[in-house]
Amino acid sequence: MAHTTQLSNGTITQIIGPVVDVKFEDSVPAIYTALLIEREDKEPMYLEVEQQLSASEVRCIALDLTDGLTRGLPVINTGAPISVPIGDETLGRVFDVTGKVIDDGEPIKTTKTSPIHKPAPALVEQETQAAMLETGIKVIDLISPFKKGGKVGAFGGAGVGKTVIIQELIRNIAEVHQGHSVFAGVGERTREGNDLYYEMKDSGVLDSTVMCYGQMNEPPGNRLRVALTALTMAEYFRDDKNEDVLLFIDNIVRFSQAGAEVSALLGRIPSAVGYQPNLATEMAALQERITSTKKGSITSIQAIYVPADDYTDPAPATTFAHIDSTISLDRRLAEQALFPAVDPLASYSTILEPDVVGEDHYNTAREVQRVLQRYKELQDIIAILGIDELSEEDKQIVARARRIQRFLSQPFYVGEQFTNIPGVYVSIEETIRGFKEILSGKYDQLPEKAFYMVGTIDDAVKKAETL
Amino acid sequence: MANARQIKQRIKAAGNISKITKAMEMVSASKMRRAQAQALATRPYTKALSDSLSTVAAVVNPEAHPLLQPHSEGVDALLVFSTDKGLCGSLNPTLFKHMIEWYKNRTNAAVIPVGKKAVAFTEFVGLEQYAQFSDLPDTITVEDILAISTLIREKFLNKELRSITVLYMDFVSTLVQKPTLQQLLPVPKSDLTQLNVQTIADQPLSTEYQFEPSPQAILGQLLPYFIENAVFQAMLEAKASEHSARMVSMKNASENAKELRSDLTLAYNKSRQASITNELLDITTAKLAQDN
Repeated sequence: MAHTTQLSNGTITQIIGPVVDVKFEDSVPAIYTALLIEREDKEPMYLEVEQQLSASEVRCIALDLTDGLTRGLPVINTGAPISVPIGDETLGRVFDVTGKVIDDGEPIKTTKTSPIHKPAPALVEQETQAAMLETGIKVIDLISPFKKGGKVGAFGGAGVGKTVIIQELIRNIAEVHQGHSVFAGVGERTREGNDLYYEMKDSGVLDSTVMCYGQMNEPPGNRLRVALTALTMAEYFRDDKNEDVLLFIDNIVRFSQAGAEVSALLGRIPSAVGYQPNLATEMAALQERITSTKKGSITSIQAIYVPADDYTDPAPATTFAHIDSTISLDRRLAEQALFPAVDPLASYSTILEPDVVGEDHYNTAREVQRVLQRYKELQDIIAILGIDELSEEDKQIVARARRIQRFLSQPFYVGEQFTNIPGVYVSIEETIRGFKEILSGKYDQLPEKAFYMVGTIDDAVKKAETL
Repeated sequence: MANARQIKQRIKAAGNISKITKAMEMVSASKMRRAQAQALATRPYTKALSDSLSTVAAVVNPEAHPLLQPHSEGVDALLVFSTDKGLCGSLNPTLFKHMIEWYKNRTNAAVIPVGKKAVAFTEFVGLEQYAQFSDLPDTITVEDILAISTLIREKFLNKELRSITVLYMDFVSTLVQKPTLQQLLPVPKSDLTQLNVQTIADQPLSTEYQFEPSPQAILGQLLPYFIENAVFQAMLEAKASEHSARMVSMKNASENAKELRSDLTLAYNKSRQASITNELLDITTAKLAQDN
């Protein structure tokens, strides 16, 4: 990043954790300007201007740890927002929030850079096409089909399998998908980021993937901006190369939480549940840029952490509004070892309409939901009066619902090392056929266990023979 | 708080169910006493009747009466005594399991369901129905079952039915009822001779009966009456079993409902307290932030 020396430099006046105040003699830098601090025997670190406190002082968030900084340290004004390298050279590499390569490889040689803050595409530039993107995961394809160029959110509390779903989707879509994909690791486990890198390297998709990491080990300023870095890189493929790009973000709520961490230190009054008062704006600034334009599209798949399984928590609730397809992960299903623990009643998709996915798909999905809904309603009655009191029709519904619940589970490629069951990819035609046949009562005589952790319905029939 | 509202609704639903089950438990308890007394009271009479029949049968040629003679025309019929109303635990499913078992092993068979539950079930699984009876009163009298006994007797005699078997829940105790299959027509030989042996053993061999009018005429009177009484007794046993089973299952249901309610109430209180705590935190932090 080139910085001009004509701009006046400032000095640090206050450091409160990740928030740093800088004083300038004459003019103050604009909001979102990147400031640079040179450090002895350490990489230079970046600050980003968030507020102008007075005619001579600005408040910044630090994108690196602030330990070792002292008051009075000189700060260089770069005169521009943080800009990251873009272009085909970014493929196969891992970046941090400032666009620095962190995979131990050669520094990247590209002249093209782009600022991470940009306005969202204008209304007239946006375009939507309603087509389905097959994922090979039965429950997702059936209940919550993905829209090409749409946004998908995987909601779930801690430890119900969001990251596993995202990684399986990367495996299934990115490997089949011919184009490029961008992965943003926001505030999740560093180990998972490492695993993913090597897994992609092994499967050969790394060469068409860009990865940006700002994981749990990073300070909040970093986690607040790394999603923008990844998005900026993805926008290159959409806007300059007119491609259909995949953008994976794990985990978008960490972005909001990072914002909350610095919010009070920036002097804002906390809003509901202690979140920043500009939560919705902050989220919209990111989400509105992830969209499909006339030039190309970004299909984004985001993991959305639900704090304490409370869907009314402001962070996931704000994200909800931006999502086209919702995959809702339920702890009760995870407790029954029904993986993926996708709740078929709480998940939905805007494209689950007969004219987009077809009558057959639509009717099967709705019928599956109806049967499961009825089973759920009957559960209290079963708990009180016992299953014998149900009418014959209801008993049949319960029996089928239990088979459907099990058939919605599926072994994952990324879970193979834990379950010892090889993963399967099920085409949407097979998925629909399987559920249709269960609903028709064709397999009422097979034991429930046969439907658990299998791929197609033929696998279930085969498994039944071995039981 | 959307979640809390749902829990509240479920608490209310469980409460309503428990009110019904509690009431049903009391009603069944009183009906049970009457039905049990009735079933137990007629048992000695039924036994005595069987004994008399076998005594008579011992001296007449069994071939002499058509109700004793097997024939090969018509269908095998199963007379199933179920209940008109539900909420009696596993009583009906157990009966139906035996019914299906019986039906599966026969090629030319039909079911005569008694009680709405059996009628609905046979229609649902698509078993052949020969006739059906429902809405019998709680306090059974002989008149109530005349239609059934007359039907099976006449249809057996005109060879539409080959055999008639009854399936009912035999009342053992309030907690135990056991499904019982009993062949009614043609009156099984083993039944007669077995009883016969007992009677003979009980009585001096020298005893000789004189029949007036002829044994055949008496058998002609006795056999239809025996059929009637057997159906009546089965019905009484079924009723006693039904009310016992209902009382027990309603008692269990009330307990389950109580348990569910207390679990849900705990969950509700927890979520309510959590939201109060959250609001308090919000107020406190906002206040602190403003003071600064």
